Amino acid sequence: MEKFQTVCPYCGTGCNIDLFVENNKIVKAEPTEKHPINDGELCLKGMYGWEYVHSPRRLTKPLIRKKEGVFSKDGKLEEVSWDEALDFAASRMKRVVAEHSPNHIMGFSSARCLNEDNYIFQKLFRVQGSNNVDHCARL
Amino acid sequence: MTNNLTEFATDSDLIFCMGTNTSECHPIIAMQMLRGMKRGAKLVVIDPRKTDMAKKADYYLQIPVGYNIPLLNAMMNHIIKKGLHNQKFIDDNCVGFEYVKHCVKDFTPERVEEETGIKASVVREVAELYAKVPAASFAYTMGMTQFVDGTSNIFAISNLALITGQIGRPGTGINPLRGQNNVQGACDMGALPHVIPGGWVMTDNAQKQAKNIWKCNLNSEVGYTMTDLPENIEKGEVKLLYVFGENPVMSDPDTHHFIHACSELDTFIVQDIFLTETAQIADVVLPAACWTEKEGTFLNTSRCVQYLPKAIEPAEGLMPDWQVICEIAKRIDLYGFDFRTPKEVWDEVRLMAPAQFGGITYERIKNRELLAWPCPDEEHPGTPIQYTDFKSFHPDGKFKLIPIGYVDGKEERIAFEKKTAEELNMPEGYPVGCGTMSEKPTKISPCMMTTGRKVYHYHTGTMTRECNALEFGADIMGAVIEISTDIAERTGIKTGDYAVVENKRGKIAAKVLVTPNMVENTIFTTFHYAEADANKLANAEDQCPFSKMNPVKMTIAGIRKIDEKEFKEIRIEDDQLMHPSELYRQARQAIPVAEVSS
Amino acid sequence: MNLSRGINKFVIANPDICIGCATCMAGCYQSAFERGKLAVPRLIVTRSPNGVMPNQCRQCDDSPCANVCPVGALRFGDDFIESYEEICIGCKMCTLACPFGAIRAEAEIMPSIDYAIIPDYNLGLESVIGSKSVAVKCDLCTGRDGGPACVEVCPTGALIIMDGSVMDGQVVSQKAHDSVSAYIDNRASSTR
Repeated sequence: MEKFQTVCPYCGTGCNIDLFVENNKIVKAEPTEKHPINDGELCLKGMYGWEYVHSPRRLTKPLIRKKEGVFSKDGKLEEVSWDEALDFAASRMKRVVAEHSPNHIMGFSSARCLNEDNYIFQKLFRVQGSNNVDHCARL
Repeated sequence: MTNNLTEFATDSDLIFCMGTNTSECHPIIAMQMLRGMKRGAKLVVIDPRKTDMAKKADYYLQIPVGYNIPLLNAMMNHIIKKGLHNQKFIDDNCVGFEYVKHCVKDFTPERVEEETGIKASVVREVAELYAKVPAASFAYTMGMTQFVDGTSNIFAISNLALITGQIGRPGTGINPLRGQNNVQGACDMGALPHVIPGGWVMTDNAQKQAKNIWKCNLNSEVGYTMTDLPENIEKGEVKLLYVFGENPVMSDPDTHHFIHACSELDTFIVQDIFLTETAQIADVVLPAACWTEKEGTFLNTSRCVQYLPKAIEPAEGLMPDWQVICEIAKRIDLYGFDFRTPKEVWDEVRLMAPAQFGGITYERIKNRELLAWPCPDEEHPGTPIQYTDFKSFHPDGKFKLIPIGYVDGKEERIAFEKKTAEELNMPEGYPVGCGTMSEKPTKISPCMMTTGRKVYHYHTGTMTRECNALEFGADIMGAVIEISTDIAERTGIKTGDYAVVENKRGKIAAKVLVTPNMVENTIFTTFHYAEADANKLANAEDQCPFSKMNPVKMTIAGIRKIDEKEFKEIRIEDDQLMHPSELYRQARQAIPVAEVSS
Repeated sequence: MNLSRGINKFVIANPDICIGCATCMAGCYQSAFERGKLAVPRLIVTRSPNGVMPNQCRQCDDSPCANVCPVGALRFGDDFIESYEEICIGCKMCTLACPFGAIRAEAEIMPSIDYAIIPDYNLGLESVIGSKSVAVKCDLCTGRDGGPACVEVCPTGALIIMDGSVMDGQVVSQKAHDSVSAYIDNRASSTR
């Protein structure tokens, strides 16, 4: 069993968690002793809120809305390859910027994800000339 | 936060909680507050609901939903009248005291008593306590901000703290308790329409940094906010929406309007770890590695950057979010997305905002140094307490005191602002704040409605509802509608009855819990449950003029008892609205929630 | 002299420091699940107009539940009331007899039911469930290393296990000492 000191993914307190991992599975979480923020204590979400990581309902394959094999607004979400999904997303973004303007794309970033994720996400919009990036600080 | 959250335990003499259900939304901060109380700190709680912290408070003031500005102004009225304000601090560090003095003069503690029933003597005692203690710390959350006068509410807090000099010392300051693990980080990383790491988009510094580091010309006009989005889509001004790690179908106000607007998009990209309610209406869904499956950093509410190692391997093919976004950027042939590790990304952040993050290296935070920005160089110990030099971020270093009033209807707001500016002969562009109610009870929607969280769930439940100990262990109630006792008496609805809460935007059905803890004529429910999402009823039409925030915490609604048949019909209808995807339904049937083992 | 020899031990919360965060309920669920018991919490965070604390079995020395149980699913153990869920017949007599509302008739969550639509799932408000129920109550996490999970996970230390020595030292003797001191001091000052 291996121990990793990490940070709780729920509220903004930033409690430190000792996560115990065995065979690539989280087996338990314990509060980090004597940490200045949470001092060896955790609430229920820190202690038991990791189970979703191993949920069988996690998405593992990209999806595109398709009807009869091609993209269609009336279609249903179907599993596709990573290349197809990324190419599709990139080409649609490129097209909207070219046909309309950079102001016609908007990004909704995530206060749940890493600083690194957020930085890259807003950079994607900014370098294309759009300031339409927001996240749920408002909500 | 201007302070570190542990200062509640170690330094504050008064913890002033307003619009925060601290023990449910931030249990560990509540624990620190309790430690402070054990040391002798006093606790004041102001909230429409008598929360568990309110029950422990030395003073609890039960205000009607949205009655923030009149109360804070009345406190300032009394403080100024008694000469308890800190004249030296004001003279040395602030501008605009005469404006505030003018604006609070009509807000007497007696007026508060008349309008709310809270004793004027209690308002006076609380005001004196705040002004007199050596270290007063103000804590607030969405119960202050999610109103049509949200920014004015915060101006009022800052006025109160500044006229009494309650800022810039240990355990003394203004402390918004951040609700999400990295909401501070998302703001600091520039996931906002007006700011990049390096400053506001129109400033020379931001423009220069973008040119030098990103090698691009930064658009200097502020972008759209999320709250403007549905309208912008309908006007054809937004064609492509890329949602990443959020579930706006459930978390944004007025669900029907939001879903309808999204159907008009040219392309809707969603990146998430589950097939959320939002992902189900997307055109492209991109999965990604989640927490513990990737390395990186979070920024907590005390502005501390903390390191998270990668602890487990994600399922095959899953990349960290930043890598997925880089892949898309590369396919659009954009420059500057050749990052190999999160450390390289972070190092670019440090280059972009050296004054804030320059000294916060991966090496230091991996060594578990707890560094709060600003931290400009690698020798710098970080800045746990802000404003210790009593200088603001404005160019002249002075704190601005903002005149705040309160008017009866939202239509009167602009006239009030204009009148105040003229009366006080204020310089051009000096802000004036004004509180008001976004909606008032009507014949059809006679109750006030507000929203919040439960301790065992989180936001839209995407993660917590997948955790059995939370979903089945702590949450034994499921979605419930909490109502005040006077509504129960008036309508004859009892605890355990089925009821529907509805207004012009939508309706939700759930069982009722009658609670004596609620201020009169008020309904409370959460937005954790797709089967009864309070945001279906929330107001997305009105906005705070400064921040464009919608008044999510204040809605009007009607309530009536229903039978089990109607309850089921509404629930099935809701299920079809929230979960249109066949893939989701198949997955739900194949792997029922209860069978997921720990 | 040990005043408390022979009394049952039990878990109780201090409402002065309980913040109602329900970490105990999640811990209780997890402990029951891991020990192969019916996976439901055995203590329920309960709110009154003036406070909050979890409510759970007091392990009464002469417990009405064990007295009333017709099949011995609830039994007098050495120092607590033992619970044998596997032989419970679901008669609910213990639920009626318990003066604290600390025993609930609960049933397994059924995988075939979508509880978001079918309204039977609202256990906090009523315990009417469409399948055979069993009586669940606090069993002090019998078989769990480290004792009751709720006591271990409570972030404010509000939950404590009351056994004879705690009862003796911290409650009875302490209170006796305090009251005697107060009486003597009071007399001394009034007769001086």
